[in-house]
Amino acid sequence: MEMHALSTGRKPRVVTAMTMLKQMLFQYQGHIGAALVLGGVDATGPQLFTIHPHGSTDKLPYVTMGSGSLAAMAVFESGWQPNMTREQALELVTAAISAGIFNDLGSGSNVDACVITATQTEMLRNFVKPNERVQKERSYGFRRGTTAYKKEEIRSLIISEDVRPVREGEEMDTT
Amino acid sequence: MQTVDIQQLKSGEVNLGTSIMAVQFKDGVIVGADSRTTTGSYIANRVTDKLTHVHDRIYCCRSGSAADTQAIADIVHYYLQMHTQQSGAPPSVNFAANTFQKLCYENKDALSAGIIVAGWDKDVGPSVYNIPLGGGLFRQPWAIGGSGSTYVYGYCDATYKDGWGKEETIEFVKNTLALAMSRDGSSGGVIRMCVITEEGVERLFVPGDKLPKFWEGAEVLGASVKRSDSTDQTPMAVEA
Amino acid sequence: MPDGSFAHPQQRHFNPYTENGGTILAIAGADFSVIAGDTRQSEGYSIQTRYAPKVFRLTDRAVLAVNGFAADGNMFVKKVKQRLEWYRHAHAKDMPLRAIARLIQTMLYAQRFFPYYVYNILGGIEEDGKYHTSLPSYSTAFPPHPLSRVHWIKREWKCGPKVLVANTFRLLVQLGSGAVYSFDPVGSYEREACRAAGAAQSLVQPFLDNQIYFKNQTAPAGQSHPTHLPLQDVLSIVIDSFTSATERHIEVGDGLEMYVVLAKGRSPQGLESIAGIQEVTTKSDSDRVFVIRRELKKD
Repeated sequence: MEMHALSTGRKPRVVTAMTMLKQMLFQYQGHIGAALVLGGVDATGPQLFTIHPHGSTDKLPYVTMGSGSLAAMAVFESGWQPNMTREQALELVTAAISAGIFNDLGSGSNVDACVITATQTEMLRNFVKPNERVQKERSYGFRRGTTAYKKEEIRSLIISEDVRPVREGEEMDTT
Repeated sequence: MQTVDIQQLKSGEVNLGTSIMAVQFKDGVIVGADSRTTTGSYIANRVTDKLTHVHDRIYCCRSGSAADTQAIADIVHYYLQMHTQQSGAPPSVNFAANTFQKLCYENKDALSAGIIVAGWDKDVGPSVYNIPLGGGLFRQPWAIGGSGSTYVYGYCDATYKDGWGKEETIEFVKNTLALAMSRDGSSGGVIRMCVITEEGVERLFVPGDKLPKFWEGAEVLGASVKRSDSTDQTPMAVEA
Repeated sequence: MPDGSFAHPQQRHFNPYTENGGTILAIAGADFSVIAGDTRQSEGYSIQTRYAPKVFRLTDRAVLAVNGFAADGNMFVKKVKQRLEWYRHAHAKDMPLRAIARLIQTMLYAQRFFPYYVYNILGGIEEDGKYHTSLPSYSTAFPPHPLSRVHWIKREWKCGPKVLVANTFRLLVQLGSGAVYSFDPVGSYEREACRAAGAAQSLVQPFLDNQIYFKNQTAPAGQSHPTHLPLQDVLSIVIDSFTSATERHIEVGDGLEMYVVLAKGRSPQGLESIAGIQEVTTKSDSDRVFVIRRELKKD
């Protein structure tokens, strides 16, 4: 994408990334098992794509991918409306991902989100953490000497040697 | 068996289960399609646009593998742009159809693509070409394709008449697709249509709740089936 | 067909079994057993329910955990319970644990060529316990059970020409021993001190081997590992087994049910402090069964 932007002298577009990705995935005939959601804002406005492993693409106002995509899509289909605000959209995306986390066994842990606008991109890593680890009942440290062994050998890895310069003032240039 | 089997293709592949069609009329062509894309039994896209622009007056209807047909359409789109730049004139529908046919025939082992090419050109006016699975090429006054088409061959044979105008042809396409979508589980959603004439391309859209209605089995189901407002129903008793 | 769907012959096959995930385990103590299971029931990547019990009280001294194909499991438990009721009607007492184990083997093997697709773990109290002197313990929540045996001791002293006779007694209580039996789907079984089964067996069993049997742990010089752990330690290990299995296995989670079976005469001291503990014993003067429920992560 960087090379393309440099050679055309223009800001890259989302469709360009989409086309490059679909052409690569099609070339590999589905053997690259990547299912992608691609989103961004360019000269033509904000847009979302899905790219399937065989290289087919869809352009839609709301998209989901992965094993939790059905749970997430169910939330989108009931909650999406046109022209949502940033806050509304972020809340809906969080609800959709949460539906996947709790109802799909292949999804879990935290919600990551990313908000892309014309001027900046915000990566919201671990935006919501609804599944913090719980405290264990016991600690499982082992006493020194727990592991049995058959042989003990201790080697000194510290080597001391005397270095005597052959000629003065002719050190290698290491700058 | 020397048959291409679309059921046995790449597993997990995104498929356009599809009902597509194209019909010639005196001023141009009308292409139409349903909007359903499926992965297995999941509807990956319910508002798909299977009517793909390949040149100013030439469109194709895609059926089969979504990936394959998109890739082919992208390549043909590129060829037609190059052809226009090099020859200085828009390509004929015949040229576009031949480009599609060549790709489909030469890569028949790797592809599952059933494509209908339709459009208008200066030489012959409106024309419709059908390119079924093996990569054949057939010019037809009307063509239907995709899994839903098998349900409506009889309807088309009985209904189609030569010399229709635009409005009659639109009704024919709309009715045929609605019938195909109602019988075929892997077709559905909305109807998208394009009217391609010398003047330009007009896009038409029929929402899923405004589709023409035909026999819906009232004799079997009873005239008015209302379930939601019946209060006499009690939940099934379950052992505690 | 134009789509070529008749091109190759295709074979369809009906599969009557499903794997419903989840994990169970049981640990035997000196005079108690703990039998536990998570409550998630799943199929593929979907959760069918977050609360489907896999552990069942059979008698006041026997608890059965069933894991594998849930439909078979529920039917199997239903049939075992029916056989135990028939036994009660015929003999006016509960079936001993080792007899229940043998019954389960017979019932499983009867289906050798269309098996119940389940792994069973039976836990409880075996009647082979030894008699111990008991110090009558008392707590408000769990008053001690009546003694199972009073051992009279006659003592004689020669005191000059007289012989003094004193009858004293000692409070003797038969403590049953904790026992765990594990089964394969067609009835092969053995008695063990601990066993895990189900989806996360491969995660939990090595942990139990290390913590219960002290596998791969050498004892400090001049010391030896205990043969049985106290109840509090066992409960902690069970809880940690399930929280860990929940973190690393997608089919384990939602809820945890732990059944504790105490041998008759064993003091229930310490149990009353456990949050939400519930007694499910049916008779007095018997071994006692308790349930402890905990939440597990739901993702």
